[in-house]
Amino acid sequence: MRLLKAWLAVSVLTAALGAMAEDGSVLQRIHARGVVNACTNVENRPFAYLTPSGQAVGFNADLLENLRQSLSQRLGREIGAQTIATSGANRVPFVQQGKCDVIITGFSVTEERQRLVDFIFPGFYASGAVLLTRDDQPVASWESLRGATLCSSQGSTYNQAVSERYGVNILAFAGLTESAQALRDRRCIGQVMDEAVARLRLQDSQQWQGYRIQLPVILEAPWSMAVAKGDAQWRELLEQLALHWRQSGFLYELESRYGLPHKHPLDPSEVESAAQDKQSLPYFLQRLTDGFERLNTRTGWNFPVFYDGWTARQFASGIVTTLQLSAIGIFGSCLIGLFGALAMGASRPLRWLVRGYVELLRNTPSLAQLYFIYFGVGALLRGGLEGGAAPWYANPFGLAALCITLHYGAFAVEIVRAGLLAVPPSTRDAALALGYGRASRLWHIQLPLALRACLPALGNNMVQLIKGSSIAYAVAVPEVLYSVQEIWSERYNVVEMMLLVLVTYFCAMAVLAWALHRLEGRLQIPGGGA
Amino acid sequence: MKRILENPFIALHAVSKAYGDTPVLKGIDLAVGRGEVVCIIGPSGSGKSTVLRCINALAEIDQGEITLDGALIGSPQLPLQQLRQRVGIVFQSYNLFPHRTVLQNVSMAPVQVLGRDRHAVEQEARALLQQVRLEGKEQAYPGELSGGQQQRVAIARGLCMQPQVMLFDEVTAALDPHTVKEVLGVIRSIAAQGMTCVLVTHEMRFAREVADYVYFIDQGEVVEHATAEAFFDTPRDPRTRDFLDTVL
Amino acid sequence: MNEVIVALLPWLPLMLKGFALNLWIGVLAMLLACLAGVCLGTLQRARSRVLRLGARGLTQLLRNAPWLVVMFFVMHLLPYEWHLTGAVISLPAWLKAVFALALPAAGNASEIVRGALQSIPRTQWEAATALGYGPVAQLRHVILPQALRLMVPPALGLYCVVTMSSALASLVGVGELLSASREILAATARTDLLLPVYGLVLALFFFYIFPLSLLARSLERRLAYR
Repeated sequence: MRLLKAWLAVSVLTAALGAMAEDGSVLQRIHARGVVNACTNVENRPFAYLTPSGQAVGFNADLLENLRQSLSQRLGREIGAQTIATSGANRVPFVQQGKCDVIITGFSVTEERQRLVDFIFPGFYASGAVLLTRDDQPVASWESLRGATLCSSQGSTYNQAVSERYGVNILAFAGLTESAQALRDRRCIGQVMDEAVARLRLQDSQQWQGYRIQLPVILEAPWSMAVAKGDAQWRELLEQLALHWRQSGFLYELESRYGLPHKHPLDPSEVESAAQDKQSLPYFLQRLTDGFERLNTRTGWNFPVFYDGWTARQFASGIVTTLQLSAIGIFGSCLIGLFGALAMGASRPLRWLVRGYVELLRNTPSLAQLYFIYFGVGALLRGGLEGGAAPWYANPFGLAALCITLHYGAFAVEIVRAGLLAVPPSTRDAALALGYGRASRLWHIQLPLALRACLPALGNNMVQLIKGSSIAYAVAVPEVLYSVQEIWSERYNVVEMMLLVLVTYFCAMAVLAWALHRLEGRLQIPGGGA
Repeated sequence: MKRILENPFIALHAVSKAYGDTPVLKGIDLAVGRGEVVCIIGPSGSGKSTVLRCINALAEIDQGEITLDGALIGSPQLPLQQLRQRVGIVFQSYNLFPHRTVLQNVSMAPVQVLGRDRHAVEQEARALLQQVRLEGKEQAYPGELSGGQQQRVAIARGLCMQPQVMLFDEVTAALDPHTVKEVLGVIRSIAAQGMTCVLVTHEMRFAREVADYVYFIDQGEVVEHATAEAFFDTPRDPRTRDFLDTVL
Repeated sequence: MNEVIVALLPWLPLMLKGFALNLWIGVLAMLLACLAGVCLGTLQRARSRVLRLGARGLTQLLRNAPWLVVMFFVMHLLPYEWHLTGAVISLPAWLKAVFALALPAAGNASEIVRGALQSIPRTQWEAATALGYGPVAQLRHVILPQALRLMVPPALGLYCVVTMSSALASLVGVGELLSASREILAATARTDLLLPVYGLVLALFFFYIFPLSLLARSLERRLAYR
């Protein structure tokens, strides 16, 4: 008991200590460290990209260099610069935690983001969204895309805005390369990208032959540096620098150097905010959504699925996909379990075959199996990287469902087999003596008894399947985890969304467990006995 | 009419206990003198094992009090650990620790619970094992021994704590007749050395031979008690007579 | 075929290094899970009702949480470095993955411990009590040594699951085998290497896990017979 108390005290203490942010202002820390850390990404030619030697170069790197020089002057000692590669999902947490001192990347100013970080005005560039499409796919206007599927990157500001405004489906990928790949695979009509990046891509003739920008730019917003809230000194220093860049023609020079169209600095007031999707709801639902909005503004606990239509739809469709995957998986794995177990009793070679399948799928990670099936087998089906549209069964959902079915089917085979073995041989003999043939003996006597014996374990397997369906995330199947990541990539409310996901899974598993419990009750033999 | 003793070593006053709604002991009065051998007999389910368990606080009583050498069990004068050192018990199913050797089974509690010196305890343990005629079996595991041998190890284990009282809970009930004799022989020699013993047993002949005093318990109550001679030769209560008829 | 082997060979060290990280993560996570599992499992049989229900609730929560979701949770919740009165402990991604895997595994471990404790006969507890052992001493000297033997087969099975689940860390930026494979495929950009590389991944895991799994099953049979 004392031990427990001590352990609790220590963990609470360390958590509290650990949670304390680094002390000292940013400038002090930079001075002490001798290095300024900048968050940037490295796959956005020409703003930031890697040379073969691993160096980060480009527009943003030049800005950083200038910042470094000016800091060295100001602090009176030589300051180094360190770029920290980030993705859309972690740049804000990094700057908030102090891992980076500043974000210098294609970071558009949005209302949501202004709640989380301080942007430095004037911005150093501006851009908006364009659609990259194949030459042979004419698109008249943004409005005509209603109901179509567009590819994009996770965490892009444009996703929600474009989707809400024009009613398109956004398929978001981890990076620009994956997104481009999907465009090539014809999984979408076009790719939503930054205008500047898109224009430069098209200049890269080889890869991007046959693609073009057809529609006008939308959702223009300034690109600014961003810093964590709360350090006025650091922010003001950067604001001065940004102003200097604009006024001294430094930015103009950089734009010329990298072949970018020249942009005048956009005012914060010129930022188009994506209108919130406020449908009219019945009264008590409206109170609910209002309540959650208030929760957000007052405490920072952000559950957008309860007040924002777009995120609610994302989340709901994610849940539906998870349920679909689970349903297919449960049904399929039980079938495999049944036939596999029967096959094992049928003939020797068949037994070895099934045993091989079972051992292979039980003793390897399901994620690796998924990749093997999706990238290996699936790529073959798709006919390599280029080529025509993928056949209907080669889509990620289908392949993920297949993989899940196969994986849990292997466990099901063992379970059903154990159930069959649990039927006492005397029962089998009695059936034989009564003249039952093999098939009818199985159907009328053995399977019913086996099912009762193995139902708990089989049910547990199904519950595990629901849990395990989350790996479909890895191949961009829009199940609940994936849909939630889209939401938190923009709002950084990871904890809240994760709680929702956990609750979803727990509910689904609980419902299944309850249903199985009822089934067990109904199947119970009075007086027990196998 | 309870038994009156001047300085009983163990005394139970109006002890009652129920398991849930079922009463098991209904107002038991019992006294054991120092150095005495007291047997408790009765039909199964009468509560006799429960009496033993109450004496070393393996079971809690609902009413009444139990004293050991004048000190109330559970009071600050007699904390539980001290009670358990002074009162040893041997169970019907021996309950040896299967993952330890015979020697370890006997010696571990004095070392780990009482903090005594390991060497001294081990020497004592060996002597005890010799006394129960199991020398040579020190490194064996309980699983390798017969029931009778295990029970003798259990007795040695109890004795190694240097108790003042030994409780025996139907220790021969699970053994076959031949091994029963071995174990009874050990108990006889312990009693002869002056150890205060309380036995719950079915072995009437043994009880007659070894006991100083006998209690007959039926349905949670003390039906009759007397010195061994008086008890077996001239039982007074008809229930006692019925019981002895079926058993002897 | 030969050509494929020749193309893969130079990348083998990188893949093996990644796999070593998987194994390392698996071992650490299992250790943590066992420690936490023993605590939770014994608490599930505590005398105090509050402790018992609390431990039981926590166990069920951890057991039923999807491993991938917990992985994301932990990755985002744990900071990248910890400041403790002067010392700065950096938490690299793989260490966070270790914690993330240890959590659901601890739930399973707790159940294993509880099950094993339950199958120790009551009489052993009684004998220990009768000899004067206090509750902690009972566990330490009498009950746990016996229970440990019963826990080994399912614990081995859990270790296999934990090691396989370390592959999930590839989805949150840890540079283990699956990540390395993806990077290698991106670097070589050859479609004919897709199947061989992922096949090799499967083979590496299989030849490590399968023997352990067989061992666990044979141990279970032997111990059940006793």
